[in-house]
Amino acid sequence: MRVFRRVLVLVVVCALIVPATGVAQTSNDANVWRAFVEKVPIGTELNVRLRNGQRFRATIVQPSADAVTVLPKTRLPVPVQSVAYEEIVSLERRQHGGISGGKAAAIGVASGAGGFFGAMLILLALVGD
Amino acid sequence: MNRLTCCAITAVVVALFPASPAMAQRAISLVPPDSPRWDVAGSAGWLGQTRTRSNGPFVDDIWLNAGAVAGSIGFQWAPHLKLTGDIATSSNGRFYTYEPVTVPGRPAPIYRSLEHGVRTTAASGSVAYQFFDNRWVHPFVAAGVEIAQEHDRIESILQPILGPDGRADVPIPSIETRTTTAVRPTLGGGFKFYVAERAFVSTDVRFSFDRSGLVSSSWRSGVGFDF
Repeated sequence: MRVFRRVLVLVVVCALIVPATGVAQTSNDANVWRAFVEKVPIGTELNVRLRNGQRFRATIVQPSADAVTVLPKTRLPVPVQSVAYEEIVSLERRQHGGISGGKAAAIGVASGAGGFFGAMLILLALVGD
Repeated sequence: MNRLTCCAITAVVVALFPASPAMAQRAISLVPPDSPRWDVAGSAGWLGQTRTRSNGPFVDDIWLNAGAVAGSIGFQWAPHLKLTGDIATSSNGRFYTYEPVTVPGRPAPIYRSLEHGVRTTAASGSVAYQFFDNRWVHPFVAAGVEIAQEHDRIESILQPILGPDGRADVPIPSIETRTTTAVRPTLGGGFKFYVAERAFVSTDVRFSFDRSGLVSSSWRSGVGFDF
C-alpha cells in the first residue's frame, strides 16, 4: 500500500513538473522569436515551422507583442493570419537569388513530362489502327 | 484509497492536458475556405499490357504497347483525399500468332497466321492522397479499381493450299473480334504541376494487377483545371 502511494505521489509530481518545464522552454523560445521578428523588416519572406508540424512560406506583415501577423505564400491566396510566438519552432529568412533545388527539380520533371506528352502526341498521330 | 486514486488521476489529467502542446496550438489555414473542390483533366500516354501468346505448341509472355487517351474528373472530399473517376481507351496493341490446321488428305498440317489488334477501354475509380496544401506542385498516390474491356480483333490468314493439280487455293482472310471484361485493382502515383492558380499539368503512372501479377501499366500526361 505504501509503495503504491509513493508511486502515485511520484507520478503526480512528475506530471506537474514536466509540463511546467515545457512551458518555461516554450516561453523562452517565444522571447527569442519575438526578438528575431522585431529585427526583421516587414515584407521579409520566411520559412516558418510550427509546433503542430506545419511548415510554410510566409511574408511578415506586422509583428506584435504576442504574435506576428503573416501572409502565407500559397497558390490560391489566403488571408493574413496571426501566429503566436509560442507556436513557432523555427523561423528562417528565405534567401533569394538563384534557383532552389526544389524548383530546379520541379522544372526538370515538368520538362520531362512535357517532352513525354509531346512525344506521345506524335506517336499517337503516327499509330494507325 | 479510492478517493486518493481518483484525486491523483484527476491531478495527472489536469496537469498533463492543458500544458499539452497539441492542445494549445492553433493550425494556420493554408487553404482558402472557398477553394475549388472539383477538377477535370484530359491526358494521353502509353499503355503496356502483358499477354500470353501461343504459337502452336509454344507459349510465351509478351508485352503489348499502345497509345492511350483518358479523361478524368476528381472531387476533393477531405483536405488531402480525392476521389477520381476516369475513362480511358487505347489504340491497338498488335501481335502475331500462328496455329497448325489439319487439312484432310494432307500428311502435314498447314499453318494459320493470326494478327491480333487489342484495344482496351477502361473505366476506373480511385482514391488519391495528395501531399501538401495549396502549393504549386502536388505529388499524389492512388489506389482504386478498374473495369477493363479488351477487344481483340483477330485477322486470320490460312497458308495457301496446293491442290493435286498444282494450283494454289488462296483462302479468304477471316476477321473475328473477341471481347473480354475484367475487374482489377490499380495502384499508382504522380504529380500535379500548377501553371496557374487553377490550371495544371499532370503526369502519372498506374499499374493494374490480377492473381498472376502485373497486367498493365500506363504512363500518362495531361492538362486540367480546378473548378
